Amino acid sequence: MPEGIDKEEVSRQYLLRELSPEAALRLEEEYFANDEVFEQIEIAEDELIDEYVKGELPQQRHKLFEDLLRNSPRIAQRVELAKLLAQGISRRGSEQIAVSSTADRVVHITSWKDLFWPVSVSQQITFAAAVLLLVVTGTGLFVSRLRLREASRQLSESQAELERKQQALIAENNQHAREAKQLTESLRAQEAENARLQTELERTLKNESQLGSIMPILLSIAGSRAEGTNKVVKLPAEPRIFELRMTLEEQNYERYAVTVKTADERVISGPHELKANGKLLKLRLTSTRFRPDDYIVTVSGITPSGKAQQVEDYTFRLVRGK
Amino acid sequence: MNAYHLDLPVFIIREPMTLPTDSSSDSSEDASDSTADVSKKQIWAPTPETLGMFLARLSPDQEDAGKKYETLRIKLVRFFEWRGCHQTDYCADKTIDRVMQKMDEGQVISNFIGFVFGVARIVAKETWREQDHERPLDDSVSPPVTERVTVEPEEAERRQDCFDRCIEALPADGRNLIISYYQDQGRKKIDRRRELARKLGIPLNALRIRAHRIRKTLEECIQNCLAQRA
Repeated sequence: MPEGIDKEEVSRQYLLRELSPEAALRLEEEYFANDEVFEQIEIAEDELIDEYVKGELPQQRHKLFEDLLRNSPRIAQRVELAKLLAQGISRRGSEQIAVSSTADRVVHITSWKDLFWPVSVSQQITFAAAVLLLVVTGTGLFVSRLRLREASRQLSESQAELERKQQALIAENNQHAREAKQLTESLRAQEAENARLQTELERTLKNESQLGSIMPILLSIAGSRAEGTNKVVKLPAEPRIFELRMTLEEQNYERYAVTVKTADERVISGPHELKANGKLLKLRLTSTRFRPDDYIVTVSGITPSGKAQQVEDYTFRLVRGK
Repeated sequence: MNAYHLDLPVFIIREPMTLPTDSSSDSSEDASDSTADVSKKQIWAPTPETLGMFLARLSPDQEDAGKKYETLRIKLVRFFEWRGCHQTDYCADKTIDRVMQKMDEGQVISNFIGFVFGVARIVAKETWREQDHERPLDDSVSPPVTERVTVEPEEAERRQDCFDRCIEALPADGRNLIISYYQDQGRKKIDRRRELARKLGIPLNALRIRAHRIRKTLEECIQNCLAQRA
């Protein structure tokens, strides 16, 4: 990136195609070789999007940004997200300000005490009588208060006892959580070890075609009568590449977002942006990411404005292979 | 680490690639050589072995190589997008395929990333030419950019809900940072950010990177949430 020039400004010029071809080429070489430079350009993109959404871009740059927007569904989608972000943050910011100004008001009210101090003689007499009455009543109240204090002390003791019990329960709970964490870690270690063994096994295979073999899985639409039940696939003992093949009823979108989830909505992989080949979408994933379970593959079409619209769900079941 | 525990590159599967008969050749020397010698149409498809060779050039550690592959692919996609190419994913995969093909043919590549970039530039030039052919005769009037879409109250609520869920899912310090960082406009925004960086005891650029990464997480979460509820 040229020295002495604001890096963010150079990145903005690049994104808006204001840089000379030579400078653009230099920047591209830099960001391919250096992840930090690439991130700086992404940050400049964030800023341009925000300024566009808030109407802060100068007219010429506004036009240039719209040229960029016209050719990029991703940026169009980010503009929508930026609008949501701006609204949400402004709302959250206002809530924070509202909370702090309420606190300010409380502070002010405590300083109003001066307003209650009487100024005229009659007011002072009335005030003195009221004070006397308060003293008499106060004495009675004081006695009651002593009794109450005793009751309160007893209550405090029982509360302290309860708190002690609660602390003990929390400690016990934490102990359980630690044990659960240890168990999870040991399970993960076991899984990692299994995976390592799988790799070693795979490396020992001399047959290279078997090593790189791809397992196609043709998926049917969830609830499809043609299939009746979920596609059942045996999970291979050795690592393989699963090629999930999803047939679309119609190819209505240029791009699709595909997510693989378990039946309990745990995302295994995705969303992946795919392009259909005719009416066919294909996605390759390694078999080691899967366990015997039911899986749902959600396919959404991506509109030109970047919005995802659900197209189909595909299901399959993996069972342990022999 | 198990190689198959990598988030192995997910392919957009295509028909075997047909290389063009003519290629631009004013890019980097190695990269232009990679396509200039193709005198007739060839059909070539990547194999797991060539993918392995490609990954090995990115890092000797397979897990790290997988991550670097993903980063390189994202850079390629952005490069094509920022350079005005359509079908950016396709162009990125086409670039990677070509590099893998040259490796398969035994080409010696000294500056690997530079070579990938050189091939990407050639693919970009080819794509611009194809796009020029596709362009309608009268393209003087650009289509409007911002569709005046009225967001239904239900949809607005859904979006708002996703935003709330995702911002709440952020760690408290990240949430506070992003709310503070993206507030205000113009001069006030600049001052606020300076003050925030001072309070956190970090340079302004480090703050920008931090905010950008949190924003990325937030955007991904919102997108996932919206897709799930579509």
